Amino acid sequence: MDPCSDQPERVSARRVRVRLEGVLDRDQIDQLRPKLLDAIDRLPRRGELLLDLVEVTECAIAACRALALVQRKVRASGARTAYLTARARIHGAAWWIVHASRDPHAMPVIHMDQAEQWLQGDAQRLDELHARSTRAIERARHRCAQEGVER
Amino acid sequence: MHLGTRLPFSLRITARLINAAVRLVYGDARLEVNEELLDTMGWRRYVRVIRDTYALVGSMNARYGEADTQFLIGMSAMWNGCGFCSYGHVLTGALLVYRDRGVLHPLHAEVVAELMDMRTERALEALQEILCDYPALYEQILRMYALRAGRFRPETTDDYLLDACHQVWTLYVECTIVLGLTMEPDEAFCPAHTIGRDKRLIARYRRALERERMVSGGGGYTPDLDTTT
Repeated sequence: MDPCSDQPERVSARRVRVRLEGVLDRDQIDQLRPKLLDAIDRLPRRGELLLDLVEVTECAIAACRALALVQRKVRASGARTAYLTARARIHGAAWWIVHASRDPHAMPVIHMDQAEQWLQGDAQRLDELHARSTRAIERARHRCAQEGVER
Repeated sequence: MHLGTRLPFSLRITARLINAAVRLVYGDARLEVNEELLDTMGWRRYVRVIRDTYALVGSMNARYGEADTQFLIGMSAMWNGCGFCSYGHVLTGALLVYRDRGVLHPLHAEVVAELMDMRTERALEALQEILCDYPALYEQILRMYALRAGRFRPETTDDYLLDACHQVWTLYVECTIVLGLTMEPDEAFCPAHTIGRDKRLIARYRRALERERMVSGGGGYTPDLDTTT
């Protein structure tokens, strides 16, 4: 399958969607890059980018690096990004990309609901992750104390 | 490490000290991960997260036992695609089982690597086969995944613990993925358990696993798993 068969698609006034498939390598990302950045440039301020990687089966480290460089450009545009994945390995690749790009407005997700929530929210990724873990730990601690689960 | 950035001198020294301490206590450590944690979180948040993690793991140990706690942490990291955490914590769980009961647990780093390449639904089916003799562990893994997918909100004490485990290791993966994306299963070590210091046990476990692999035809425990679906 040609992983770039789907071009960046403007799905709404604020959103660009890119659907990739199969095995991703650096050349394919380099080919995609100008079209994607052009599509992002046309978005209004605080646009949304949905990278649909559900049908991606492999993502080479060179492709991750290339996508991280693209993500840095996206960061500069102020757009929020969601990486939608269906395989743990590709989810890990998405984590690597968003982390390496240092884009606080990019997040890997596993469902469209989560993607919508992220794209329409305001939070920065690290703050969100930290807040979620702190809340979850506090609730678990409270519950364990109620039930007498010892440490 | 982030693309094109360099850690300040003071944090580099702090990361080296932490790394040396972790290596001393747990038998192994990776400087890149400790640098990344400090660089990303800052030392105050880093200390808070580590403190909270120890408390959570203590509660999980009390609830599930040490081995299953390690497997659950490993699975949480696996869904996030991090080889560093998932291989390491699963190895820790498997070593605990091997030390205490003298048996090889069906979940080990090579199996986790296979599961990570599958679509999630297929990985859950495969886990059910792999853990057929460990139904309680499978149920907890399934429940943790359902919480992660937002299929329901936590209701029971188990739910709250599993949700916290998932949330905390998602936060870690933000940093550990710098090594976790390319790490191989045979590079796994115990990231936060003193059993990692027992190098003889680790060597014995690896030899036993290799023997088991040869007996089962070289395909490990999951020879029929199809990663294309």
